[in-house]
Amino acid sequence: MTRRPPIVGMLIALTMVMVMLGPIFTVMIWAFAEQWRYPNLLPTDWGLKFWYQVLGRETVIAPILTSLAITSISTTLAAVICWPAAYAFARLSFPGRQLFLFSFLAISAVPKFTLFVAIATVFLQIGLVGTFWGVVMVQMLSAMLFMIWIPTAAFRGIPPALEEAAFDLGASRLRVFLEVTVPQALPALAASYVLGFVAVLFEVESALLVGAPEITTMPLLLLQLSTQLVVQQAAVLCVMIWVPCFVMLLLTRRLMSATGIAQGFGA
Amino acid sequence: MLRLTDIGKSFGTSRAVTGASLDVAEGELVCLLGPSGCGKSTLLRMIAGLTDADTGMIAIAGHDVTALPANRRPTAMVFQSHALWNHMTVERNVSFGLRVQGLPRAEVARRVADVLELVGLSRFARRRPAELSGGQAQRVALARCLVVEPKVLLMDEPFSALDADLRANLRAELKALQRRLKLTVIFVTHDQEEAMELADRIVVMNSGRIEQIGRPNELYLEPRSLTVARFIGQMNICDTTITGGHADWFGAALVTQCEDGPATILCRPEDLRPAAGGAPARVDRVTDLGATLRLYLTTDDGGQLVWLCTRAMAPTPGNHVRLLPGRCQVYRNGDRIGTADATPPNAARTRTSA
Repeated sequence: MTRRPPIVGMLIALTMVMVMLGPIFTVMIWAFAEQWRYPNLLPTDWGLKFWYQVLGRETVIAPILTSLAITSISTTLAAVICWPAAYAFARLSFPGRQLFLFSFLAISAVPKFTLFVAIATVFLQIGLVGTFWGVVMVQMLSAMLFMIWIPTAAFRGIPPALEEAAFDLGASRLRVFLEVTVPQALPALAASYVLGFVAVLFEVESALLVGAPEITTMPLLLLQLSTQLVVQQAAVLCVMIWVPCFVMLLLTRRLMSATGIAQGFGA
Repeated sequence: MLRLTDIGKSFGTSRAVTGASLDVAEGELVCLLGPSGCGKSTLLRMIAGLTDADTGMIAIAGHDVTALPANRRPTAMVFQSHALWNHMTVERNVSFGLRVQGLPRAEVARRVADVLELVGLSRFARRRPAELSGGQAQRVALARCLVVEPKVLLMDEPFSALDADLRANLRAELKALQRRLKLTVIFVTHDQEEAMELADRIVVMNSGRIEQIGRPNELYLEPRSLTVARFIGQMNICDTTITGGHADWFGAALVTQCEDGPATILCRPEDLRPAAGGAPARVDRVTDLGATLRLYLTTDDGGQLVWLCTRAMAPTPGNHVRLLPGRCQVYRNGDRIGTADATPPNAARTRTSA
């Protein structure tokens, strides 16, 4: 007996894909469209004219490099600070543990703009406003939520016996963490890194308040040029912001299975 | 090899282990046996150093290790869940302890190969634990511990997740291995059959206390307390009163040297025999065990009996039979105070000689 294809399920999946990927495809097409007028479904002229125009502007390359540098450093620093903290939240018992853990969630519970204003005020007093490291520090906040909550859940999900078995065989706590705990939690750690990276890369408000005008990131550039650009140029900039994210996702995909990534996101 | 002196542990207000003392000789396999929550795993974890003891002293090979962390104790533990690392191959799992010790690569490779051969898993060295069966995984867990040559091997219900056949096979393998390598093993189980089969001595625990330590047959034949008697094997239990050296056992008369007063009389299902003057009982149901039958009976005064008998002597359900116990154990306030017999020894001799 042949099984009927799940038509309804396929329709729902197709709709979801279109809703999610439709805008992305549209922007992608715009980035390579030299001529696209109604009522044509696709551009009549394709080309890289607008890429040359955007990349030819002196003000574009520097923000791209700045953005990548700030995002990489912010996300990595957040990981260095948050992953051990997440392990502590998951495994150790200390006074105020729940309160500390909840405080990371609280970052998302208040409007970020007000938080960034408060931080910018402090940074102004200590001379960090308008500096590269000021933006790095303030943008770490955007990654921290992912870097704490996802790894904490992942570390909690690792059976303690796995760590105890290594400790029992003579390994130090650090060796147990590096050789047993981290590899077990790797999908979740990678997922948290990717999410943190993307959140930092797309962050506008903190860069605007702490960095501008001395430090210009890609989203800030997009904001600044939004009134001066034609639609294709804006699309080119959008694609350029997406590229690092796609690279991150592809790298993650190469390093681990799709199931592993899904587990990292809690599936 | 291992000496526990007055070990105690509490979790909050709950006493997990109280005053546990035990001496284990080199090459001995001791089972910690008891129901769930009796403190046997906690005691094992304290020996391993994975849980700190609140009181008492733990000494291994004459050295006090009470204050040492798990990674500095000469023990290795096989966990109930195997606790194998799926991101490593079997070989890497087994070599972990040796790599931690910083041994030369050649020696690590040789010892890993030797131990994998010992447990019959040489050809699985490159596999991941997820690709192994439950029995193979448990062998890898055992090999991972054996390779570091611990002074005491600790096993926390290692076979409980396996099916009955595999469990029996692994028990036999473990026993043979333990004798061959003269391993000192502390084995935690709640399965009394497993403990009877494996152990040189059994430690019966209940509510955090050691109830009795003894060889399997000692525990079976002369359990020191009602708790041990109920836990080791099946028992027929009769609450009665001793008066003038006599006790009523479901309507049959028993004689005893015990003092007068309330008592609980216990006898094993295989110690019952049909006899005139025995307790009258009706057969409710029969369970066929193959070589023997297990009969469930109700005595005329409402008591419940279990009788293990051969096919030849087994009555069918609904039949009436009179049963007498062989030697019974007598308990008062939970402690063993003596024995009781269906017939006084003198009378039996007289009858035999007549």
